[in-house]
Amino acid sequence: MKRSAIILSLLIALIVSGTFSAKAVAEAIYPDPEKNITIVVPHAAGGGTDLIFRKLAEEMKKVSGVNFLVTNITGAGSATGTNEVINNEADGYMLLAAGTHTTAATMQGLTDGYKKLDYIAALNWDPFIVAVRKDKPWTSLQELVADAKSRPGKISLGNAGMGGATGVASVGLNLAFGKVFNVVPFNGGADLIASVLGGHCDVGIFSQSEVVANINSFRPLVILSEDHSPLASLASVPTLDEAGYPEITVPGGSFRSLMVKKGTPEVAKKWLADTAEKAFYSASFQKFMKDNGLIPAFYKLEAFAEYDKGIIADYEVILKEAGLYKMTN
Amino acid sequence: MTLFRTRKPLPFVFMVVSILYFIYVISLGSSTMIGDEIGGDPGGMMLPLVLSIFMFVASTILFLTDKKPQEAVQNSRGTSEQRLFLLTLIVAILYVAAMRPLGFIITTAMLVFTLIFFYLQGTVVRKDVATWAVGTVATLAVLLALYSIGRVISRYLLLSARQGRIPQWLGSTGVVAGVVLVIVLVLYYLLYKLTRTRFHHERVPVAVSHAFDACMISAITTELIYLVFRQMFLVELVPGLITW
Amino acid sequence: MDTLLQGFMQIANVSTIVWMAIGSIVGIILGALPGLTATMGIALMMPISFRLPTATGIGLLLAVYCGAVSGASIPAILIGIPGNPNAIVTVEDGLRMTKKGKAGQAIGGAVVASFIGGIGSMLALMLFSPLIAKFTLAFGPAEKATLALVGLAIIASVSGDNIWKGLLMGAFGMCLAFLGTDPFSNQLRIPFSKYLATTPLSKGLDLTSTLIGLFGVSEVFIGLKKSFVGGQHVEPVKIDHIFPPFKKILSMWKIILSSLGIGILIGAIPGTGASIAVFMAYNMAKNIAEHSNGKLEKLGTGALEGVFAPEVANNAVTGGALIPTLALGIPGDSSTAVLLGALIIKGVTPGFQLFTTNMSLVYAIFITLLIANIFMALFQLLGVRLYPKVLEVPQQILLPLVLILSFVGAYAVAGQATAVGIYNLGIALVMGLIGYFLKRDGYPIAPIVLGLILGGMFEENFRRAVKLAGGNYLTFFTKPICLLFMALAILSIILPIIAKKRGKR
Repeated sequence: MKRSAIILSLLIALIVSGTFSAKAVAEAIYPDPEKNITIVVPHAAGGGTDLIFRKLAEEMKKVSGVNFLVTNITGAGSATGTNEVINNEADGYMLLAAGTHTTAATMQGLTDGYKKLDYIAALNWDPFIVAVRKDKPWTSLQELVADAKSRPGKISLGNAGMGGATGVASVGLNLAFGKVFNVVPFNGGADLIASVLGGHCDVGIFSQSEVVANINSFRPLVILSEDHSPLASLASVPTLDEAGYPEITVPGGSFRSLMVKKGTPEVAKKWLADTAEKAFYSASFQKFMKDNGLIPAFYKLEAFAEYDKGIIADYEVILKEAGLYKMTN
Repeated sequence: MTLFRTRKPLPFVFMVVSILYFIYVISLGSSTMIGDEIGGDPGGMMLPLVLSIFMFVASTILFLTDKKPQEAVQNSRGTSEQRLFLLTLIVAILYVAAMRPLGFIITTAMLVFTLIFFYLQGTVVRKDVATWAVGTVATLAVLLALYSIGRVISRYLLLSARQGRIPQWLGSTGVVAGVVLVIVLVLYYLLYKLTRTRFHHERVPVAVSHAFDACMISAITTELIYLVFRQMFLVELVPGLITW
Repeated sequence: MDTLLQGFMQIANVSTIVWMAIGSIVGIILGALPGLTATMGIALMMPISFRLPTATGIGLLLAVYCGAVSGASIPAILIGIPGNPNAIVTVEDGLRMTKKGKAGQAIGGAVVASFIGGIGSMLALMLFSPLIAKFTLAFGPAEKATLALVGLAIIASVSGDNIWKGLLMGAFGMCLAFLGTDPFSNQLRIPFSKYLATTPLSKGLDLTSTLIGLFGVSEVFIGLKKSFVGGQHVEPVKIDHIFPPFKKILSMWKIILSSLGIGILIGAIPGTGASIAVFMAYNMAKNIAEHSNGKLEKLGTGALEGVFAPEVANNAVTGGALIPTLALGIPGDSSTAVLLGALIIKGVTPGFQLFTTNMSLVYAIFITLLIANIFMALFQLLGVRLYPKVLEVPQQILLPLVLILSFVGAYAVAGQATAVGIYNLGIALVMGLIGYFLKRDGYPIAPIVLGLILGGMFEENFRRAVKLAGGNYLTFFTKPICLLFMALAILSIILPIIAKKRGKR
């Protein structure tokens, strides 16, 4: 019996000591330096959005010493990943890689999206480029539109998926040009590039890095932003104004930001916004944005909430006109 | 119901499923692309409809042709196997349902302990319930001890490395997980050596020996899964009640 | 030659070798654990690769990639749970070999096959990259839709004795694939969509969790059929003849070459992947074995041929998928998508330019791929004598462990997302029960998996092709590749039936 008593007391001692000491260490304020902070990217690993947040996570880790992880939760446009953040605790340990895709998904009624999220930091814009394969006959946007108007529905305009920002941009363009294009959604950017390069789809809406990777085979027609591309190889691509369509406004790029679930403690939000700010202005992240032609647009907390109101207003018009607007209440 | 005596129920189930699916697809309506006047999209209804019809045809053919063999090998199990089957089913459902409130560690240990214990016993009978309850508590105690020790060590390593008290590489995810793994395994081995003989000799009831085995296996299995999946590969396991 | 030497110099250091060895071991463990996929492993290692020189970092990621693809065969062979979707088909003959007491041979064979697949595809990557990349671009939506059709035709050959059962299961799998959101309109296609809209069901069924349920969880319920009482006698596992005899490998040259070709090409076509390639390779091998006049064993009976075909193919996918990734900047599968991302973050722009401006890096990548394959084979062989020990664990203990590993695997697919993880647990349990009832009545499981994998691919590309053609359904008959594939699909259904009839006579 003696032996069992020893074992028993040993076990109890182990549990008690283990539990308490662990608990004591755990009672730290936000952020718990040992906990991981997860950034949910609602798009596939390796894509444009994913890369920006992987780079940012790396920098945030460096400036704060806390481990930032990126996890990809794809599906239903970007709604599945957004819902994951909304369905989790509002403790500040899970961030959403938000942006125009969140705005689009929320308005299409796929998720409660920004209605249930709080603003942390706005990051940057990646302007879209409309491009065709080099051997196609159109050398400017006007030629392309004229040809499309002469035979409506015969020229296909591909996007990287209906739920996302390229989907909205393609629908917006098509509306602006009198619905003469055959808008076709593809399964992500890679699928679209391959189809345009292979000649299966005539025109595509790409992000800049996608065009740069195949600059020898693509002919960029227009950049959907107000200014020229910051990238040397694309700097000569005209804007919509210069291409002869100053009256057209489409959401011309994908915007990326960080958001958390509504109800996250103020301390956590402030800490995250400050960390994001430091990471954003780090030399390495600035260089990354420059190399990839990303246009910086940093705002944090309330300033970001204000900024997002403008984006929401722009989107509302186009989505309503296109019949995509399904948000209730 | 003579029809069912000679025929298997599964094709019938699929017939019903395909009809329900058909109705469901119709009720959902076709969804073609919006904001596009050119058209040409076959719509989201076409393939599901074709498949539901195909499923119905295939299951009907099977229903008519795939008869039970003449001798009707009633592969009926004994009552003890039936009980184990039911137990497994219930425990599995409870596992999924209780994951969120109780957390990964507790539910996993209980699932593994319960199943191994009753599988070793070979059946589920009332008189084993007391042994099972004690065993569950013991399992959780052993596991929590191992877990807590592991947590203390890994927290210490991670924090010290970040504060620069020990070299950076000692605080990296993989190294920490490895160190904890070794320490936990050594402790577990000692515990096992110390206790094993007490529960394995002729005066101990078989049920108790089985509970001991099940307890030991489930505790270390859960801890290993935790270390490999959570600490090594950073899978976020639901914490539930264990918040430290 | 100069660039080759430069490339070699980039990785000729201790740090590269050490990191690649670590990557290889991590990859194999990751592959062997159900639910942890190659893509996840590469993404996990990405932060480490950022801190290493470009070539070393890519080498580390490639080592994880190759290890994970090949490691998945271990649990598939031993307990019938594919570690990730790459090893679905390896279960067919691998598990049967284990039941015959030839677990060692099966694992050894899988390692050799993986090595052949990896090296073969590496050679293709080195020698024919530009050519295959061009070929890849010929695959538009219409071609991919008909390719999916060829895949679906394989249902006939994996259905066992009753073809209607196979067809029913295939259709069921496709219906499951349609759950989720409509790819064109983003409309929800789930029952009770009003209440379930914000649940993870809106993205449909996760492939890996479904697989784990159908293969792993169902196996536990089936295992309960046998009585435990009376203490089961566990036979000690004999490990001998780990390496298949050289003569045997030579006799399989047709199977090896066809699997290699299928793996490379399917790998190179974006939007497809190893899970499709393994089915096609298996089907091809089955036909080859049937026409070998008894020189080769029949597949589906626990033949080494049946392990070789999918294992050559899934490792051939690694090199194949790298072809469009490097040559066009278009990833061939989800794993290479992450690799591509790692390159971009490093400031390297893949695509045509890479081959003209930075050939030395390309050579360095080729060489690391070679090393990755060597390490993969080496580390797996070190463990070959160890893994089958699992089988000596008595059933009463093994079954609960299989169940919990299946559950953890299904859960872990979601990574850091606990809500999706718990939902995946539910999928695995429901699929486990469905799988149990189906298996009990002799229904084949493989067609469900095929339907699930190809259903979405077929629907999406079919609709896209018709849309691109402005609603013209005849578009499929105007493209030579489509015609070829449709002919192939029809032949692969008809030929076995004719062969069977002839056999009966």
